[in-house]
Amino acid sequence: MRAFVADILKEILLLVRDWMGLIFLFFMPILLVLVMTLMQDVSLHKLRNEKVDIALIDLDKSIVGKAIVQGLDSSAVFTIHQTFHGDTMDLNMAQHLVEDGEFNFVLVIPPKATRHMKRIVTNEIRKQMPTLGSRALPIDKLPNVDIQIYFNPLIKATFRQAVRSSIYELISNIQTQFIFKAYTDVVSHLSGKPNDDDFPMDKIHVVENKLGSLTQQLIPNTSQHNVPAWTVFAIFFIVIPLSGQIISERDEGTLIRLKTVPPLFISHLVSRVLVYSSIAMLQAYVILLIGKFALPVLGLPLVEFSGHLFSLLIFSFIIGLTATSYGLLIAVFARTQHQAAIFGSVSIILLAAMGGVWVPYYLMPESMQSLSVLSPLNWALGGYYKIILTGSSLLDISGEIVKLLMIATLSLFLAFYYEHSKKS
Amino acid sequence: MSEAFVQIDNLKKTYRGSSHPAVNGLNLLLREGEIHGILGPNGAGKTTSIGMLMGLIKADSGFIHVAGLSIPDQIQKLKKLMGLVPQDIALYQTLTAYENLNYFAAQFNIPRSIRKELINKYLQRVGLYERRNDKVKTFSGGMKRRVNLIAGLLHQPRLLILDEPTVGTDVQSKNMILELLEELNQNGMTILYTSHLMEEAERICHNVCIIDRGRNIEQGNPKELIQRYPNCKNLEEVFVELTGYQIRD
Repeated sequence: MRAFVADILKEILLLVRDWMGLIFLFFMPILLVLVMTLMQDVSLHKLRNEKVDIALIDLDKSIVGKAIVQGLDSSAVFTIHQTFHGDTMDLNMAQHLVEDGEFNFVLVIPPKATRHMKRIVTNEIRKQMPTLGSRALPIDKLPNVDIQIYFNPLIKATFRQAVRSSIYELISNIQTQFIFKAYTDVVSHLSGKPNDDDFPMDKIHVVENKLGSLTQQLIPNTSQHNVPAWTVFAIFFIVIPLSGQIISERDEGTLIRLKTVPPLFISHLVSRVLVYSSIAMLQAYVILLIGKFALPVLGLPLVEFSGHLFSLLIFSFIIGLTATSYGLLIAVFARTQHQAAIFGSVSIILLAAMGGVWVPYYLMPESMQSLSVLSPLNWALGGYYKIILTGSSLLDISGEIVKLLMIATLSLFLAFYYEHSKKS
Repeated sequence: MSEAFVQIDNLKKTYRGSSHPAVNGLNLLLREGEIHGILGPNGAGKTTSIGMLMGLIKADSGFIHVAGLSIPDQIQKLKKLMGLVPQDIALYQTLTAYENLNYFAAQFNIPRSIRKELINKYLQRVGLYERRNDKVKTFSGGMKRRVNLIAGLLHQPRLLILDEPTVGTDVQSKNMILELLEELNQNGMTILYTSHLMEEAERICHNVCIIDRGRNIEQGNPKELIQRYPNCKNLEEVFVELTGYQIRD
């Protein structure tokens, strides 16, 4: 026990005095969380919430114009601009602004659109009720209501379709209102009873319903992704100082001395694994605090932690165990510190990229998503998502835990096997 | 001098991928209480022999007995009896001299109070007490060698094995190390020591074994060896007579 305690204290001292190692383990992930969350927040915000900017010139200035402006502006998809830097836009100015990329579309509602639409509706009623007196005009004698759309050719066809559909929908509503009004006027005239009611459009709804459980749709916000993602990355980066430390022991001869003292060599490794895995818990806690307190200060979303801290820490310890075992494996196979640092960092960066640390899993193409599930960093990240977002317990993430422990066992087995074979 | 404490018989070792044996039939007899030197040019097999003696390297054939116990089968029982001072400075560079010694002493389950006493005693003995709280990386080569030596003997082993313990030291450090070894031996410690420095061996060893290309080519008391070769005035000349002038790798 005395030797084991000495081993633990020695590991802590070595780690505390390794400034580069500490920077790798704590400063780097904190910086990564801050920078990556800021960067991704801007792009994901665009991806999720950006509205299409439309320059609108309302030459009608009556019911049709107002209804289109109001209808588009209140949608979740479009933002309507009738002025630019305080100046009311005319067609020429708006067209230039689309060409310059300031707006995606220019929408021009023609003059007298309301009056012309009413004439078309009234004419249709006259056609159907010739007994009312006035004669209906032939259709080619009636004016068209042409709503012009100018767009930047770079705009996706789906956006153009969305604009067109929205306008048709709004015009249909207005037409319905006009037709209803025209008929109620006729009925009022015939019955002698006044009726000022509008068509009850608000009685028809499209209702959206979500299907599937929350766990199947774990879409975290930028903070909820980046905090666990870079924690996983930081924990796996333990590989660099750890393998460096082991190779330096081998180069300097302390490894030989450790093999000649009474405690079994494995006890030195166990103490090392325990210290580094505990560091993983500390990393997780520190980065989570950053997510909770520092990110909101920068205007980023808060990490709403719905899980148990105990589960988070124990899971971090297990990730640390896997990372430490992988570090031991690298240290045993690498001939120099340089080799271990290069192989360690490149392999962790690749596994991180594959596992959805850099680019969130749900934004990856399908082919990459199927590759992603092979990375231990993906299992670790998946476990964190579940703990942080849905408050899952350790039992709920037992799949991830078992897979991580299997990798740890395999790494340790290979490391011991290779180290033992060196003896002969 | 008493019964055989270390006995090595026909020890052989060829490293994987090498066509030449590193150790090729080495025999050695070391009695308790003596200082025995294994002398040889570079690549003679000294370090490999020590590795096998400490159970760090598996021999291809032959056997090793220390205090009646077989190596490597019973190495775990022998670890407390043996102390190793490796050729490399086997210390943690970012720990202080005291922290290093305290750590290695704790590995031998020495209680804290005794550890402190022993460490301070030896640090004073080698003139490093004042620097005990300085990190090893700030020490000179000679100072590191002295700490390296203490780390191997704090648990008071019956057999102290040293692999070139004075390499890279100045005259003063070398003298201090050799004096300490003689003092430890006078107090009953058996010492097995490798070197290619004949002057040192002649000064402190009761018996030496000269090895070359993995096998022993001569052994005995240094004075007797010099007498055995009438053309030689000292051990170095005996060594050259036996191993030749050819440069080794």
